[in-house]
Amino acid sequence: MWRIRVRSATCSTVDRTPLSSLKTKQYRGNIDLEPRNRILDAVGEISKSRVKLNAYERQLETSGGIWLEDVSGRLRNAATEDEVYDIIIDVSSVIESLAPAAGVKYANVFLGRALSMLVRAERQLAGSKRIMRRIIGDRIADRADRSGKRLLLINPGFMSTKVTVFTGIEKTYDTEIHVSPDVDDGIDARVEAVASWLNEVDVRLDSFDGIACRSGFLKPIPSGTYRLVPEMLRDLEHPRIDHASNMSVAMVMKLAEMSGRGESMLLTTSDPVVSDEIDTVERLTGYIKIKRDGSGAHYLNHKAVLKLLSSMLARDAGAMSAVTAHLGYGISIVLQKHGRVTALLDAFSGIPTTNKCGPLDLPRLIESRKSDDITMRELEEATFSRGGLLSLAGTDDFRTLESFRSQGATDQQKKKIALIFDFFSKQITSASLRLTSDNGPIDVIALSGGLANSEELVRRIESNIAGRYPLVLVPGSLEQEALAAGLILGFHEPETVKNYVEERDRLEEKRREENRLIDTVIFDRKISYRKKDAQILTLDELIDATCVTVEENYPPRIGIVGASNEEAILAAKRANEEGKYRIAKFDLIGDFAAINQLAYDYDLIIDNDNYVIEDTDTPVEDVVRLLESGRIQILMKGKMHTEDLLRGVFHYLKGSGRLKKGELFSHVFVMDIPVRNKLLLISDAAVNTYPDEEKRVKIIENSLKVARLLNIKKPKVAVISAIENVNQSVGSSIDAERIAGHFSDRNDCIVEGPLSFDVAMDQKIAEEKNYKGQIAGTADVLIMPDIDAGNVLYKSLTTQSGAVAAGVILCGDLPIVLTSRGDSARSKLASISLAVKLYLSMHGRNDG
Amino acid sequence: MLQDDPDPRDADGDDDARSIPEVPVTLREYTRFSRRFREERSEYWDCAAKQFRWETPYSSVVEENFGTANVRWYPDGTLNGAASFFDAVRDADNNTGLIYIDENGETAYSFGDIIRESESVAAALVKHGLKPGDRAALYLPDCPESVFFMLGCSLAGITYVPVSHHYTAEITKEIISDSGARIILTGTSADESYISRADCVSSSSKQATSIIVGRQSGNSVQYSDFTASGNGAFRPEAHPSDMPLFLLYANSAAGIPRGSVFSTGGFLVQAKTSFGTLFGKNGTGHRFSACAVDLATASGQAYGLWGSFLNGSGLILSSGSEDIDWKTIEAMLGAKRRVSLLTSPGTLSSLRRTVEQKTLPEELRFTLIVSSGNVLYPRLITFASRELVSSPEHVLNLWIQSESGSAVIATLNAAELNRSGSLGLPLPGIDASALNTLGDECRVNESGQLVFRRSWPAMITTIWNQHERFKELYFSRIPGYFATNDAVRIDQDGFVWFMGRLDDVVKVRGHSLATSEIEAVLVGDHKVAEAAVVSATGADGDSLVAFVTFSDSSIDPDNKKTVAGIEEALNGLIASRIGEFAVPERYIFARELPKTRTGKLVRRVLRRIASGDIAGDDDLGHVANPGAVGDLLDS
Repeated sequence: MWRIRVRSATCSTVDRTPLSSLKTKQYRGNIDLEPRNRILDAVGEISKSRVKLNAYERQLETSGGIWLEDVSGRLRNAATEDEVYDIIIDVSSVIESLAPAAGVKYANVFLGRALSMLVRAERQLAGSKRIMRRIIGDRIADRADRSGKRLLLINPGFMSTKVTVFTGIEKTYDTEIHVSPDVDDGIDARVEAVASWLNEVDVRLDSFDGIACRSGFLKPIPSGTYRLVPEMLRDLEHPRIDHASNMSVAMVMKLAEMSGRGESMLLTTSDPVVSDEIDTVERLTGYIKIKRDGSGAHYLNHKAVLKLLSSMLARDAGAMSAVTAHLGYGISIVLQKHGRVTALLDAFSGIPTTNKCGPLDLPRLIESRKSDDITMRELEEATFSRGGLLSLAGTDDFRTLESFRSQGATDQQKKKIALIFDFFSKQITSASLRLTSDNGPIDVIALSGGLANSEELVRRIESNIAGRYPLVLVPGSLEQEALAAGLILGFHEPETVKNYVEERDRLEEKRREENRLIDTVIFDRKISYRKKDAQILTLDELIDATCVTVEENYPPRIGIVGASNEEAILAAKRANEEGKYRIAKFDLIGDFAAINQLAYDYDLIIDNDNYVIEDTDTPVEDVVRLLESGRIQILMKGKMHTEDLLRGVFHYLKGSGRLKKGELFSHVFVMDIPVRNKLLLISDAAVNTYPDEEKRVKIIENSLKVARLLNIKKPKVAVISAIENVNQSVGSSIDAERIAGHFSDRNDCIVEGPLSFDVAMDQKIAEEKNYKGQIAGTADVLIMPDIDAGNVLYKSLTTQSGAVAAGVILCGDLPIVLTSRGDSARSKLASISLAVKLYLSMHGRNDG
Repeated sequence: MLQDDPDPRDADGDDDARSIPEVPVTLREYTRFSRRFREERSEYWDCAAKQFRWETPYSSVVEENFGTANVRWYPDGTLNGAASFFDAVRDADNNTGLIYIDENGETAYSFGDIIRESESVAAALVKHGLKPGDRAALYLPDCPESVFFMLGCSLAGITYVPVSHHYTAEITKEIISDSGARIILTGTSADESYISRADCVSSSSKQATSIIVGRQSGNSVQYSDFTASGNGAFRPEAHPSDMPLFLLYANSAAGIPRGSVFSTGGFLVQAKTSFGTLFGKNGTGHRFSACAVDLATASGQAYGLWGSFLNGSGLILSSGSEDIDWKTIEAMLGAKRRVSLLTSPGTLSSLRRTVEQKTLPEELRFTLIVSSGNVLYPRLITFASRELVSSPEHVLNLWIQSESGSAVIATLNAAELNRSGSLGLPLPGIDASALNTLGDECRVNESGQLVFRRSWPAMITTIWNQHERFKELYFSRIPGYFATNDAVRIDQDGFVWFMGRLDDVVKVRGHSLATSEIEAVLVGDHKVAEAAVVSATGADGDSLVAFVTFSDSSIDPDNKKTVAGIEEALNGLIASRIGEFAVPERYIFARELPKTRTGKLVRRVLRRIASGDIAGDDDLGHVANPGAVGDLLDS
């Protein structure tokens, strides 16, 4: 019936698709149509098989459901082990045939359910024999069965100790010994209790061949089985977390001693909670100061679950990839790959649990902490003991919640309970799926622990996973079996027993190595991303942009003339930081001894690359020599008179033709003013004292170079005077008009004058004064009438309104940096950045 | 007590002295070589000692314990210092051993002359009642007589005390008194002020007989009369290896003078070996070493006097002593002699300033210039290699201090082993490193304090009559190390670069003084954790300010009464150890001192705080704990 429907659907789909007609569409020109036609063929075929597949899947869903129902009923009613075995064989054969089809939605769902059924069936057999065979493999199991060694397993928990006895591969005794309230809980009391219980069941202590335990919070080690050694006791003296299991190693050693044949007994622990083998990438968090490790998960159970499932799928556990979730009182969800737990999520890194809140929304948390709505104590409790389900529902037990819903809950409470189930199932699903995002196929997702018994939770998780992966239930825990398995393997394959001290030290070294990698400084100062051609609005942006430009080109070398100067040394230090934050490299030109002493005082590392000392008592001559040889590209003034430096450099630049006829030296300040939303350029407040009209035109040209460097597309240049109208009695207003006139036909900039300072800088005032020009309060560049006005303006801005200034002298293609003691560290760095960016814009390969 | 093996008695089964391993000329080889002999220091210094004739063999190469400041090289061995030199030149006694240049031209002495003159001095000293272990002082410019006198002392087992003729009469008198010298040799000079100082010293000295060279004065004995009194011949005896060969007094503050003691065996072994390493083997033809440093300095002793003589080189002295001009240079190099020059950066610098007076023919060049005493600036190397030698690698720098006795770090005469501007490489058998303030070895190029993990033969063995002070000054600051006050960095190839001094040298009440000396006294008090003494510039001139933190955190630096008591106690301590003049004007007690990220005290900031020259908005980016600066400003 289905088949017929499928066929007709297939035909009609193909016929109606417009794709086929596209194939024949005529194109002009010489185009290779072959790949395109192949795509269309492929798409057609996929569509055809998709339709077919959908039909089979539905068939699988329906028939599979009926079959599973049937098997489940048989299993419930099975009276003998033989009947159970029949079911096991039946289910196993279905699984075998299903496995190759995994990957398709309903095949996944069905495979998961079949595997869950198989787990259920096998666990129904007494004595764990079947499960043990799965975990250790038939070959070892046969040998162990024959040897019939007797094993004792100790698993101390809160106020009780689980004790299990195995003979061969069969669980022969299993009990939980509670600590009597009349005695002080401790190693001796618990050992005593175990010994007396053994006495009760008539098992002699000296009849054991080995003892295994869950070993508590040792130092981190890779997973596996370890021989118990005294070093463990030392490490357990100061455990990371106080837990009853920390007593176990001492208990086992004591029991072995009491037996009188401790020497010949094999004492082990397997896959302790402190196992740690996660990938380096998993150790990162979004904050450099916090690193994760892999410890704290239910390794023993996770590993056993994977071994069980791999055996059921007839696969090698090491070759499988699976996400296993242990959902008990604590929750941990791990990704197992290549036989390792490569990634891990738990209450501290991914999900809320029965009593732990899991990750919280930090901004809300900070707010609540600040207002003391949440106290530090509350936060600690939420994190460790009173968060999660307990905080949402008032109970830490899902079973209680489920039974309360059916007995006595109000409608509102029922709704809330549904909400909680929805919440937890989504949290668990998303954490599990998050772990699957690791470049490679995932074979199964398995749920174990007590919560895997909750039908509601499991149903919701299954529907959330929606067939992406087979979902297998392994409710409860396989910990005792896994402990026994580790011990048995230790007997028969002694090479599987690891050396604690060696592995611990090796892991510690590896982690330390990783920490070095994680802590490697890339940029010492954080560089925030900016679009390359966006206008630079602050000096910090200028510094960052320069860093990027330098990265793309090379750090130019700055010659500090007269470097025996504290300010210069500090500035040079900031602009390099031992090559970590490298805007430039430096030649420190001047007195050798004095520079060395300063370098020592300020921790500047002279390495003859980032910093080189050029010893001289004639710095200006040496600077010219270094410029000539191309060794240095930028100058910076240190302990030296500006005039002496400029005079020497001027002669050189003129003579060498680097300063072309008509070019002028001029200084530009770039000001970062707190109340303004962009940078302001001021020129010339430092070099040209009383420039005439012609000079000021050149000063404008130079400042336009800097404006372009800041990505100001069409710089607005205001030629400043005391007034914004030409007035014969104010000479500077007449000059300003004439100067602006030189630029009247320019498209790359707007030059207006005269403008008063307020009209250039304040939109409101410009409006009030009815200024008609284009600048009206939004000037990028102020051209000052003379050095007096310029200097007063620059100093009033820096000293009275918190402005920070960067400055550079332009002389042909050579930038010169001037800094002074009054400059802040940021201002020095900004000045150097400005010069470097300017230099690279003229000489670099790639101007950022 | 740490004893180094091998036991030399086992080693010298055959009497032939093993030769000292040749120093390689490539950096790679040198690094391997120096690493080997850093590890096997005893082997190296054993070979070196075997070049001498020991009357009694030493029982071990070295016994050292930095904890008790105890260093003994070649213990229980005996030898005679000057006789070792005589042995070296016995076959060449007609060779010119000493040339003295003054305004009258040059005077030459053969090795034979030197031996005879020295023996006369020795005989005269004995005649004069001096016994081995007694002291005799010299206070005169370098001249042939001073050379004979020092050799004569050594021959007779007398500890000589060379005092620079630049020292004031006051200091010289204190030195004579502290050393207990029984004879004082003075001389003459073109410098009038020296003559009056010398006369002052001679006339006021009660304990010592004054002997004078070259002129008449008061009741001083004429040098010629003195030497004639001994009847010439002298039969030398062997003296213990650790008998003091000479004492060197620094031109430091008044208060208690400090005489560094150098023992005979260790000093001579290293002087000979180190001269060989630096100046090269004698090779073919006779060679000379011109000495343009004061013989009353460590480098004058190690490389002017003993190093050249023990290696069979002739010595050239000039009446100008360290002040040589172009004319003297021409005289030194005259007749195409093979001459190396031992000099100082100061002398090179003044030659550079007067280079236009140079008339030196192109073919006249020193074979080597060896500079010591200060930082040798690269520009001076450039100058010297252009004007005075034939190639830059022929200009060597030595790191030598009065405590080190001989050079322990130096650039060497090979292109790869000479890096302009650096102090050089640690010499074979020397274990030098740089430690940061946390006591960790510095990373490559990170600057820190220059320290030595092990001793070396020529080093200072104690301070005359003040062993506790010796321990305090050199071994207490970093336990387990011999500490210097130099800040250095060590580059990736092992070259050591001088960065600066760790302390300040300040001038207080006319005395120049290293603040580290006061700091050493302050931290000697158990209550004090850290101390930094700086000189503050104020309206009334310079003054000393001490910054102090307490080791006991329960002491409240703001409690006026408590700190006043402590201040008084510290002042008493300084007055007794150094002198009243070194007591700081002001103490600033603090909870912490400003430091850089590597834990280095930021003295510059302390100086500014002390001088009141600091504002809240100063750039303190290099200070790791700027809060400390704020606290200091508040107090």
